Amino acid sequence: MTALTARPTPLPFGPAGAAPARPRIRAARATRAYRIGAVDVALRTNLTRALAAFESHYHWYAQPVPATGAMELTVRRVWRGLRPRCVIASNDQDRFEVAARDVLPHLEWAMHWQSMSHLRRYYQVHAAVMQRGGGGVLFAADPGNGKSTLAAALLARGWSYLSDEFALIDPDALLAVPFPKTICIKCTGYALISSLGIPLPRRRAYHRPAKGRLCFLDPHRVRSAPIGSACPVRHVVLTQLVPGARPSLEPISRAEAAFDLNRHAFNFHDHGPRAIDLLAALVRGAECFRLISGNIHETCDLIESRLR
Amino acid sequence: MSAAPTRRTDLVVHELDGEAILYDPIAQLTHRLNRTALFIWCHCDGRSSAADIARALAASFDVDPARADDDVRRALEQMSDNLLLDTPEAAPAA
Repeated sequence: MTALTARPTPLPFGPAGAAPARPRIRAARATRAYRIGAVDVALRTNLTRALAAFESHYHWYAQPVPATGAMELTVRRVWRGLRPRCVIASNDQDRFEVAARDVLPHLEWAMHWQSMSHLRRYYQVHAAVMQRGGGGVLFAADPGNGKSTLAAALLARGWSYLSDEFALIDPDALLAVPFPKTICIKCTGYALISSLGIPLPRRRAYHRPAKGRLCFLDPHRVRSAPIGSACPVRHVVLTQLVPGARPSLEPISRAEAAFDLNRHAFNFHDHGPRAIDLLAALVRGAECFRLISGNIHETCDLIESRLR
Repeated sequence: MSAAPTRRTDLVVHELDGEAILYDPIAQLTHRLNRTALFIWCHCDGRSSAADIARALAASFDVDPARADDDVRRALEQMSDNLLLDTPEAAPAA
């Protein structure tokens, strides 16, 4: 006699003659919570691969429960014929449908996309933000001007990281607050990053039509305690990459800096006329420069010698 | 162009080290005025003519009067084009 009784497992077949049903296990989507700098994110998924990919970069920011009003990201599986696909949604709006291997970059872009509407209370500028000695430096630039590479290079030199392309300015406290997403490195920057001694997760590279091949660098892989805190902006640096150029850093007027920062703002009109007050207050407390960036080592040397 | 141009008073203006940024809440546009342009704009008080402003500019910036005339004319044209000046009310038909 045995105490163990076995029950035959029902086979996943439908009525006699019908095509066999696809075996499936349904599970409620688990919700994981993160606080990425100043930004609360809730990720809902029951896809372990998607969760593992996100966790590999963001487990540092895990929270026990989602915060009220967190930015919601969802990954769910859908079937297109026999092909499984992953749908990535942010705040219940479908953004992307991709293969499982491409979930991570699209989660990043969904987060980026959602930030524009979810973080409206902040004044958002297309800029990398780095911190040294308690003061923040805003490197504002158009895409393709090396903000992320510069952020990684300065991080390797001991600066603290707040963001590589999404500067969030708290309009009440007039502070730059951290939103330390992973640093997006395009393939054109791989050699530069490697020359800085930073290990790149090249085996986890992705492809995006608009950006080409790229990978995501977790700032915690560059050095320990890499994330900065909310800080006043002490320097505004309008940045332009000119490959092969001798780097230069020239002072500019605060009006010029404010005018150009406005051009790099994502949500100027969310703040109405107050945005111009904010811009003026921001540059009044900062020294302003125009940077021509070239060789990354020389550029970093120049920045460190001039921005004190 | 008005004989005595008047700057708009509904713009948000921030003077920054002698220059300025202006925000036009109607057009939702931001403008930047350099030192000379700010000087000219500040003198658009509805009483000073372009010639008056040019004289003041020449005296303050120590520039040739002909160049001051030219600078003021161009600046007023640009300000008018960018709607930074009040447009005089059209005279009512008789």
